[in-house]
Amino acid sequence: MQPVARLTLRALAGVSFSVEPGDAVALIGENGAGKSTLLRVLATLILPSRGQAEISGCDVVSDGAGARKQLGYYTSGDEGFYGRLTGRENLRLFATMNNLMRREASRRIDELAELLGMDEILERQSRTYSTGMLQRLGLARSLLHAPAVLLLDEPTRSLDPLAAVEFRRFLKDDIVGRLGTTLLLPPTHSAKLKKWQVELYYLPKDASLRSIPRAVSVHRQARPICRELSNT
Amino acid sequence: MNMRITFEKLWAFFCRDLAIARGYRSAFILGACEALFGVATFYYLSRFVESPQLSSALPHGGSYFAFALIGFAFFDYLAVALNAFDSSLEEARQNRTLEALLVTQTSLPVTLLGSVIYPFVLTSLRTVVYLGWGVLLFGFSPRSANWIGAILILLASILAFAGLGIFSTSYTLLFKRGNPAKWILLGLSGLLGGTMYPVSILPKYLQDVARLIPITYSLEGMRSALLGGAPFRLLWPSIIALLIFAAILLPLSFFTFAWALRRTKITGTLTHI
Repeated sequence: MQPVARLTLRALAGVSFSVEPGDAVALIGENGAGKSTLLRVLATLILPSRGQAEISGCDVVSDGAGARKQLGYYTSGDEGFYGRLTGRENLRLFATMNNLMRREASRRIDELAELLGMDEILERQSRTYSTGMLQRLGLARSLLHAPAVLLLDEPTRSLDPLAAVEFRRFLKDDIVGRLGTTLLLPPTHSAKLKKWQVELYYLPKDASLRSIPRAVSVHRQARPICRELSNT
Repeated sequence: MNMRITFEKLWAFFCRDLAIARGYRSAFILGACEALFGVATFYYLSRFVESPQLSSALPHGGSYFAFALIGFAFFDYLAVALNAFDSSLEEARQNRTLEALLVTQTSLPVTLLGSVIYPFVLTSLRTVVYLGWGVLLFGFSPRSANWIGAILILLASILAFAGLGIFSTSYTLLFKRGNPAKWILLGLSGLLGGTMYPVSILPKYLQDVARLIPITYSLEGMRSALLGGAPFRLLWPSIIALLIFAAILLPLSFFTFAWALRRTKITGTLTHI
């Protein structure tokens, strides 16, 4: 009876932060701290029972549609596509769902295909794609409507090391650098943080937690900006 | 502009389902064969049970085959309405497209509505195939049919059935599986709606209950239009009854669905399987 039972699990209590336009921010924290939950709240997939969250000034509860207009949500892996449709057909469908009219959608798909190096695979059914191709297709989908904010959940999880390096470079240089998109992502392993070269926000599992774990403090030296999401 | 975008979205969903179905062409041929077997079974069953007494007990006289064929073919619409919303939600959960669709600028009701257009179109094709086999091979003759009346009955029925379908999907949204609402509605409609026998043979109290089920009016109207060639003045009572069902069920089901959707978003179980 989970859907109608009383809510008992507290998540993201006391978390407060803001990200400036064009910044790239990685959320770090222990397992279960709520990194993915936070992203899902921002993506309007979970409604917070209390508190407030905004994407480019649009409240995710009272103006979910406005918030979704501003955000692209990308989860890693090869899920979420129709395998019997080609890459282009998949992207066209999601472009229509993001209110892009046919001609605009085609133009945008061509642009992104060029940007992501997908020209040659777009006419193939997506079930024939490799994991790396699906990653790019997923990223193209999240960028179709040129969102101001890009939420990335474990973006390099199923990529090989070389592809992951290339993917991070692409995000940093092209998505943040060229397009000026705000990036918010939770890396899975602290070891990967060095490679991201982004601002780090620490999400405490318990709102009362103050100390910063060693894994993070290492990176705190490497990257001077590491903030604890505070109780404000 | 908004209406245009909504229609584009609905069309895009239809094209998606059509493109996916094109990958399974043999299913179309097998479906047509299955329809032939179904129609043939009813034909020989009706020959076995046919008698002057039976014919006189049917609302429009004629053969039991024609009576059962219409009941069988149009009951499909109710089954599709109750299954299609559910299945589209479950399928999107299973292949993980639900999450991807939910973060777009398309609401879940439009997504669900778009996802059931193809099943309804397919059901209409299947109905044509059923009736076609009946006409071609088994002497079913709808020559005097009021086709426009039949289409109006069908549209009003789809609206009423969609209300039931959305209502039942609210359960699936909340509890994921084992939707009792669907089975109760299908079971009651099959038992009391007059699919295989006229409602008039039921005990009086069950006839009263049958009056509370949309399919009763749907099948009455459809048989009047196709078998009796009834003029519009005789079809209006069925059409109005179905529209009243739709007027009550659609807002109620949208309200229930919105509540269920909000609840699953709060509990974070929206995309759970």
